Amino acid sequence: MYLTTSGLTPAMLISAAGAGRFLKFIAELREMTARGDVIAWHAETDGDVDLSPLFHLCPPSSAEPAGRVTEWRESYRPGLRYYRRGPGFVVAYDHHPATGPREVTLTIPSDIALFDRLHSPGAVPAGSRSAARLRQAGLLFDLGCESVVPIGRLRRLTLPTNVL
Amino acid sequence: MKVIMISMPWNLLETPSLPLGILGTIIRGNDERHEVQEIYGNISWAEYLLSATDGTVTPRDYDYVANVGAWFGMGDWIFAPAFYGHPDWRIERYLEYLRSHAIDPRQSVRMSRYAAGFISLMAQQIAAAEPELLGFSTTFQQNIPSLALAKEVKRLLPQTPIVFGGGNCDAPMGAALQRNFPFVDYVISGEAERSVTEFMEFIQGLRPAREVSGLSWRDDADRTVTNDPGAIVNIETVPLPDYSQWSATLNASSIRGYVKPTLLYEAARGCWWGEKHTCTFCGLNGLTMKFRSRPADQVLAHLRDLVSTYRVLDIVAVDNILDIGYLKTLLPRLSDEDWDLHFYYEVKSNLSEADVEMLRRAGLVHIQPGIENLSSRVLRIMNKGVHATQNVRLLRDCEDNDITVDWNYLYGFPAESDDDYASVLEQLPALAHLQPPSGSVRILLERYSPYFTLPGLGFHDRRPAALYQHVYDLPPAELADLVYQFDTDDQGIGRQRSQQMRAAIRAWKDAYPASSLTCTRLPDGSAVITDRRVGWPERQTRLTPGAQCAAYEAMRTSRTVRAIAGRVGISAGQIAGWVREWRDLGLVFEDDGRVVALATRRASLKRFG
Repeated sequence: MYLTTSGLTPAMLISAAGAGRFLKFIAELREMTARGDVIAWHAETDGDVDLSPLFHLCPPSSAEPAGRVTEWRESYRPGLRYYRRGPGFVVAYDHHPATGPREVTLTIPSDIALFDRLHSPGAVPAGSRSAARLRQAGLLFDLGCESVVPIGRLRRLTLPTNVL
Repeated sequence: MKVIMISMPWNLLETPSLPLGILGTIIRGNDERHEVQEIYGNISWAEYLLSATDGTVTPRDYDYVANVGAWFGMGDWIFAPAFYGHPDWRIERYLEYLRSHAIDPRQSVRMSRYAAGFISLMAQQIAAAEPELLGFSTTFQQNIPSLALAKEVKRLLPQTPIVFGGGNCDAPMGAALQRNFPFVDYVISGEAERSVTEFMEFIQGLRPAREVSGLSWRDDADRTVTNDPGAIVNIETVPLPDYSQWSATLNASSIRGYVKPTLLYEAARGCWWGEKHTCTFCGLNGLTMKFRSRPADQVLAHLRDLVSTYRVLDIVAVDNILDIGYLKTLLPRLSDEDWDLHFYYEVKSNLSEADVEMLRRAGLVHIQPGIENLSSRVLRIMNKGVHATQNVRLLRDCEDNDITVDWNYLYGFPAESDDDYASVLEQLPALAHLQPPSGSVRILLERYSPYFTLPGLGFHDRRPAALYQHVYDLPPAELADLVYQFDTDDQGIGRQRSQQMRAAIRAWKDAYPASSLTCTRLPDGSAVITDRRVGWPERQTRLTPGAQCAAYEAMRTSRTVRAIAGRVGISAGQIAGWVREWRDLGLVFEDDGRVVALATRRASLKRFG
C-alpha cells in the first residue's frame, strides 16, 4: 500500500521495509484526530493491509483506488475510539458500530507501560504477555515487525457528552 | 444489629445511592458489630423485567420511566397496582393523564403487571435475611415502590421496625408518610448524618424517640409526633460514601452491559446564591439552604479514593451549585492531575470565559447552569442574578470548550409578558450554532419555593398536581402534606406565545447539529467570521483591523455600547452602528442594553453533525 498525504507527511510505500514510516504517520494522524484537526490526505493502496482497525482516525479525503476507503469514510465520525486515564489505570472506549460498544480497562502496570511506550511505533518484545493482552483488546496496530497504539487520548469532546 | 437499607426503583441504574453509601459507612463506623446490607432494588427490578419478559423490557425502558416518566408519576403508578392490591388500579385515569400530556406510556402498563411478583419475591428474600431494622431511602418516584415493599415485608416480619428517609421525607412530607401508612414505623426528615446515629441508639434502647432529630414516630396514644430537626450538618464531617456493595451488585448483574457506571459525589450542600436571593421557582434545598462545602484537599482526596477504588471516570456531583471558590482551589488542582475525569456539575451561569476554560481543564464537561431564559427582564422576575447576554456568553464559551450544557427554557412567571419574548424570538435563529435547550416548559409550583411559600408572588391557588391522582388514594388534606408538586392557574405568557417559543426551539434544535459560526484572527490584524449556520446564507464577514476588530473582541464579554466604546476608544455612535449591522447579520445578541458576540473561536465537534 502506498499512502501519501497533503501537508502532513511525505508519500510513503507500505511494505515490510517501509512499515516504520507508515506507523509513524499513523501516530501523527492519531494525535491530529484526537485534537479535532481537519486533515486532508491522500491514500494509495495496493496491498491487503486490513485498514479497519484505523477507521476511527480521520479518513483520507481521496484514495487510489477510491473503493478501498469507502467504508472508512462513510463510517467515520469524531470520538469513535479513544482512551481516558485514571489514577493507575487506563480505560479504552470503542463506539465504532462495527466493533463496539466496548470498554477495556488496563490495570496491569506492564500493560500500561507498553501501551504508553507504543504511542511511538516500535518493536514488541517477543513473547510479551502484555503485548498479547493489548493486541487481544484491539489496542495495537501491527505492521511488519513494529506496532503502534492506534487510539488517541481524548482531547476534544464531541457534543453532547453525556456524563449523566 | 443487622440492618438492611434499600434503594428502590427508580434510582438511576447508572449510579449508586449516595444516602446508602454515606449512612452505611456511618452505621458501621459507630459500632463494628452492626452489619449493614445495601439492597439495590432498582437493579433487581431491571434484572427481573429483563428476565421475566425474555429480554423485551430492557434497562432502556427503565431509563424512560426514570427520566421521562418522573414528571408524570409513571414510576410510582407502575407499583401502585402492587401496593393497592388491584391489577388495574386507576389505569384509565393514568392513561388519560398521559394522553392529555402527549406522553407515550411505552412499557409502563406491561411493567405494572410484573410489580406484584417482584415485590413478593423481594419481600421473601428480605424476610429470609432476618433483618433487625429495615431502612428505605426515598426520593422522587421511590415512594410507592418503597411503600409496596415495606407493606409486604411488614406482613412477613411484623416485629421488624421500618424507617424511611430521603428527599421525599422532608417536613411536612415525612410526617404525612408516617401518618398515612402505618407499616412505616418511623420517618427521619432532613439531613440524616447525625440523626441516623441517634436513631440507631433509640432502636437499641439507648435513648428515647423524642431525642432523635427530625424523627416522626407514634406516641402511646398512636398519634404521630415529629421532633424538631437537629442542627445542620458540617459537611466536612460527612464520610466518603462506600459504594462497594453497589459496585459488586452492578458488576455481577445481567444488566451490566446496558449500563455506564457513574459515581455520585457531594462536595457541597445548600446554595450560596439561594441564601441571598432564592430563585423564585426553586424548591431545591427544602429546609437547608445554608451553603456548606468541603475543603478542596478533602474533595481531591475523596475523588482519588473513589476513582481508584471503582475505576470509574464519570462522576455526577450532586451539589446544587458549584462552590465558586473551587475555581481557584479545587479545579486548578484537578486540572494538574493526569486524569481524564468527566464531571456533571450544576453551576451559576454568570461565569467568565476564563472560568469556563477552567471548568474544561478540570473535567467539568457536562454542566447544568440554570440558564432558564434569555430575557433579562424575566430573569430578574425569577431572581436569577444574571443578565441574558451572560447566559448567551456561557453558551458560546461552552461551545468553544467542548462543554455540554443542560438547560430548559422556562416560562410562565407572574408579571412576564409577551413583549419579553418578542426580541428573544427574533434573535433565536442567530443562536443556531449554540447548544439549544432540551425544551420549553411552563414552570412547576414546587414545595419550598418562594412561589409556594409566598402566594402573594402570584400563585394564589394551588392544589396537589394532577399526577398524584393516579398515585395516591388519600384525602386532599393529607395529599397536600405529602406531595412536592402543585398545580396552579397559569401565569405569564399565554398559549400562543408559548407555542411560538416551542416552535422556535424545535427549529433551533434541528439547526444546531449542522451549524457553526467561527471567528478567526488573521496575521494582518483583521478577522474573518465564517457563517455556516442553518437558515443563514453561507458567507464570510471581514472585520477590519483596529477598532472594528477590537470592538467585536470587547463584545466577547457582555457589555453596554458605552462600555465597549470606552474600551475601544471610539464614539458610542460608531459602536451602535456596528451593533445594528452585526445584529442584522446575526453576529451579536442584544438584550436590555447589553450586547455579546456570538462567534466562537473554533467549530465544535458535533456528534450528529
